Amino acid sequence: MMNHAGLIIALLLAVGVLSTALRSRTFGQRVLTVLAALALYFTLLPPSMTGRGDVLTVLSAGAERVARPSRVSAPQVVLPGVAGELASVPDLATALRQYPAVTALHVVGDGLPARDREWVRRLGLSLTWQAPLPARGVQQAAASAYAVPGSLWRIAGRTAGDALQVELTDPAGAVVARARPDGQGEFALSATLRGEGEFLFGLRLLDADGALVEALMLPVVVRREPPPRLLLLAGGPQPELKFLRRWATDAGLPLASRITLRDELALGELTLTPTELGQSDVLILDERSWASLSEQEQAAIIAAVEQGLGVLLRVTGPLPERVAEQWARLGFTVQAAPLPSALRLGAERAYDPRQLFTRRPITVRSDGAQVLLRSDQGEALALLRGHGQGRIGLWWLTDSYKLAQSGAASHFGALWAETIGALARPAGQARPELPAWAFAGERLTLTDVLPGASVLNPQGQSTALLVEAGQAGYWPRSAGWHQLRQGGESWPFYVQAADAARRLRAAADRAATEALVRPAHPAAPVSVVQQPLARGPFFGIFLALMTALWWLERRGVRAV
Amino acid sequence: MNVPLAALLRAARWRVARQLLALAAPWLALLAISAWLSGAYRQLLALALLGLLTTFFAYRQARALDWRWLVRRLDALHPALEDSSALLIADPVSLPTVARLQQARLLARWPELGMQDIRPPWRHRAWLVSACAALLCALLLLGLPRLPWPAPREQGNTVSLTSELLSARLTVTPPAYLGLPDSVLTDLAGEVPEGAQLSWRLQFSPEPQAVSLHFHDGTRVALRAEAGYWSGERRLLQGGLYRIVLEGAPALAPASLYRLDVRRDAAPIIRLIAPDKTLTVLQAPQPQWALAFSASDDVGLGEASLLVTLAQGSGEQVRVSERRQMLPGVGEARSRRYATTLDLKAMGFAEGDDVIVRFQVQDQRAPKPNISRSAALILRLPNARSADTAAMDGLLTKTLPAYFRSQRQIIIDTEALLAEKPRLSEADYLDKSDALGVDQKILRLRYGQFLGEEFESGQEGHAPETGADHRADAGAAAHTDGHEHAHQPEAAASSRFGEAGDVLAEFGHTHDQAEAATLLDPDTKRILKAALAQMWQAELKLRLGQGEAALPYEYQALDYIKQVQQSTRIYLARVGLELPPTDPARRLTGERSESSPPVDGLSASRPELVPATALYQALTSGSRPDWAGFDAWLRAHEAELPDALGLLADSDALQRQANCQACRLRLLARLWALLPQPASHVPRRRLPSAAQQAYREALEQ
Repeated sequence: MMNHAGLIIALLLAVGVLSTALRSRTFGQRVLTVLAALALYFTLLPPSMTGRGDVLTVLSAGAERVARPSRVSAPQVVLPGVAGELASVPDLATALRQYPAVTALHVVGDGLPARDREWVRRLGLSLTWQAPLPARGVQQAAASAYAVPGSLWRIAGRTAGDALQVELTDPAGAVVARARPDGQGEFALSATLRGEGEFLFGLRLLDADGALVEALMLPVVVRREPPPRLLLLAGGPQPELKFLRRWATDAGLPLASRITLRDELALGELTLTPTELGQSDVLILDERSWASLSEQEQAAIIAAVEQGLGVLLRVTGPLPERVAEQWARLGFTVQAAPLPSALRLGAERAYDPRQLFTRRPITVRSDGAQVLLRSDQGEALALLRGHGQGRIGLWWLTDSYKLAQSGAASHFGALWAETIGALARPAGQARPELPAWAFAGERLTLTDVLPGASVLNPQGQSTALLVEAGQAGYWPRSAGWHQLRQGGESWPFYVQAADAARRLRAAADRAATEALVRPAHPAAPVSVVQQPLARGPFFGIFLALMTALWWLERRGVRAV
Repeated sequence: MNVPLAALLRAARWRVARQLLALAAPWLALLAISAWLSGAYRQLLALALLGLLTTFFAYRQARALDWRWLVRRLDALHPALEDSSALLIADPVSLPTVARLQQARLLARWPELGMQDIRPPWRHRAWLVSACAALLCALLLLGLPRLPWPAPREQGNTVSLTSELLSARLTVTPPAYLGLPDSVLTDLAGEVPEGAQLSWRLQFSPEPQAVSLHFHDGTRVALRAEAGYWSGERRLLQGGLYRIVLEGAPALAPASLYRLDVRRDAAPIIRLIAPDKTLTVLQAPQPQWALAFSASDDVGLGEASLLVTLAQGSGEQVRVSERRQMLPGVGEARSRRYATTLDLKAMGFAEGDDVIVRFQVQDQRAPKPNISRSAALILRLPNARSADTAAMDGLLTKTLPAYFRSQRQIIIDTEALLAEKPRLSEADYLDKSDALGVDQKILRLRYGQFLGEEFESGQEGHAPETGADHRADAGAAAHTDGHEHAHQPEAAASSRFGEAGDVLAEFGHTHDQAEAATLLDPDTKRILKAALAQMWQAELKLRLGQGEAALPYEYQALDYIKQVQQSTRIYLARVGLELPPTDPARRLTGERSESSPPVDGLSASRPELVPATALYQALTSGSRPDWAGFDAWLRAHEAELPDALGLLADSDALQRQANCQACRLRLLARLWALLPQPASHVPRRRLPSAAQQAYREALEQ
């Protein structure tokens, strides 16, 4: 087809040239006519050059920070967002339609955005990546979007760039925590949540001079949850129990306890019956109270654990052999070991990281157990293990009450709240999975959504969601608190402004692009394509020649 | 051959150019006036540009009139020229003969035609239209804001429901001493220096009858009308919120609250340069003491002085002399350095003396300057003798606690002693009985104090008593060993019961203490007196070793004391015991399942419910907030709260617009800082969703 068109154009041009040239008076005019015809031909059908047609260089956002060769032989496209360059294509899919032979991408810059990564995966393109150093800013910030009142809300994140300081500001704007990122740029901050409702904390990144580098909004929804019913059995009074009971009572946990003082005398009148255990969520006991339980009671506890009860076994002294045997059957093989008993809990747990705590000098072997609490050296101080539908924990830190005693009652409360929360029978409603970061103008996916759900935006407009297999997509237009409404419940989530947290988004793109990197197979045939030259220059030449011809003609007329 | 064609052409050109300039002139003038009125220099630039452009176009139009135009024009105007006026321009030499003839004819005719005006006619009407349009624009620009009728509303409503603030201007005149220029706050809010004179100048539409500014603390500033403007003044000493309240006109459209913060003039900051510590203890006398301070202030420093106190002598002979000495400073107004040298020799500073110096500096705040004082600097040359006690800065007091038995204890002890009597020797019995008598005495004295009785015994030399009584004076401290025969009067004197250091009691003689005596009502006094009498008797018998005889008195005394005690008690009405009704179906079955679950005995601490918490809870739960209580609490605690004005403003905004979601979130965020910290609640594990549950069950099978 192309060739036919070319032939026809060539013939037409030849006829035109001949007819014109025959009428021309000077040799120069004839030559120019022929040249102009040639130029016109090449404008219409540009000549091709051979080149590597299978590799497409893609300039993505941040490409301006990469030193790259000024001339590239392979085709190149510019995605939107590159500073100093006009985007040549709106997205990668467009570029791939323009270059259908492409099998490999060479990405320059901070990586491909989500809409483009999809195509790399779908078409199975191999990808090489030339990345600049990450720009200074917050690369990652993770915090739970839902929390309970009074809890210690933790933010862990990573920054790029050196000599920085990270500050956490509370909703009223006061700085509540400061941290200096470590060598890898990682930081951890925490704040105690006070009221209930939706709040926006601020995360501010400051440089060495205290000037603001970046500011992020961290949303948190503080909601009360049904308090677990707690049973407490102890073989003797201890300060740990005093503070534990105090915290549990203040936090509104229904608490029943029995602390044995001596034979037949105990504080509290708790008796373990299957009903009692079935109604409760967590049982805390120590080795002495375990040893004093009857076989039926022990069996009742284990049966209740299989039905979902959480049990925390506290090691407060040397284990009697029988108890050790029974606990080994529950999955915790405890052995005394000559270990130092003093330890520190680290800045994450203790208000004063230098404060010393005590543990039982034991080693615990447990298959498939998860560490519930670690010292600052990384040694386990509490383990957690699933058993049936419930969970059993082993705890051998003996004086966590020192936290409360030294004034950090919130840290003590947070430690036990998290421990009990991990053990307790599940009770919280199944929550739809909301995205950690949502941005205005960016599609987001909501998971575990019930049919008939809708989203209420800050302007009060409701959008019904199309739910398919528990998933729904939503495209927020404006920033602010949105509410996912389903089944009479509403779940708030925050949508960030379209230009918020750019470094964080770039970092996410980088990580995702990194995962896509797959160099082309070395044995793969290098496809050579005929790449047409640009038409522009030929058209320019044609225009120049025609102008010259016109001028010559005109001069001739004047001369006459 | 003298045809002034060139002059004709020139005239025509000028006419065209002038015409264009005349058309543009009103608009240029309009632009110039508006630039002058608004003081916008950008408009002046536009004016110059437009002027240049007009000139250029005028020139272009003028140039467009060339010879050909002239010829056509002449031909059109004068038929007598027979369409041959082009010949008038041509050179006769180059013309063919016929043409030359025609040219000659024309030239001959020319004078008849006269100096014809061939200029295009003056376009009066166009100019008039342009000028009128410009004038109209000018009127609109200048006169519009002052038009007496209300500005037309966009909705086209003829009746406006809200007033509008057409122009607002708040001029802040800082106090003179600050030396700051006046500033203008167009948004009527901001931070102003303390003591600044504020003057408002507001304009409203429609015109109200009266305008006043209502401040949040209840004060009001009434504005007066002056030439279409409302103005008023106030001196601002404390930050505040205010609102513009109109009378005789609808309220303002955005009924906003304006916030004025006060930038306080900070007190000067003093830094000590020499000496480097507040207490300098000299080892050897020195003739001079060099002192140096530096002070800085945010505005400017005022006068500085040094308060020098010389304390001479020791013990009770300390003589204190004070003098104040002005200190000149070196440096600029905001930061100065002060140095002086005290001539100790001239002051008569000697061994054992202290020189205490305080530096004091003022700033220039008016009317009352801020004053900063440094810590007291002490120069001490200790006495050689007193060197070792220099560190002993306090008075050692030797006070023993008061030990004494109660009446009931005395009875019990007496009975025990009587029971023990057969096993005791006579002397031992007497000894113990006597000791009990001493206790009885102490108790009697104790109660006697309530009646204002004099503390009659125990003074050495004042009331000579027996050796046994000496022991009694020594009080229970001595009594506790029970066998203290080797009695030491000096020790006893110093450790006398509860009264060490009581010089008056030791040397003087106090009788009734009026205060103590009148404390009790006559009835109680009477019973107490009777009790004391019984105690006397009991003491007497005990001292004589007649325990059996003492007991009735003791009982009687106890009875009286109880009467006194009970006379002050409050009795509550008795209520019957209300037990829950018994459930006969469950009784004696041993089933505990139905009973209420056991609970821990502790009760939860309830954090103090400040109105902030209550408001917060109301806002989050959606119930009706108690605004009045919160506002009252806020006003009462304005000084203690970090940003009370902000809180007031936000709560006010929400009160006015109850369904403003952004206002609600803002107020919640502000209240956050005031909330007490609750005990950490427990985050719960989530129940598995249906799919998760199914997966789990499948795994388990």
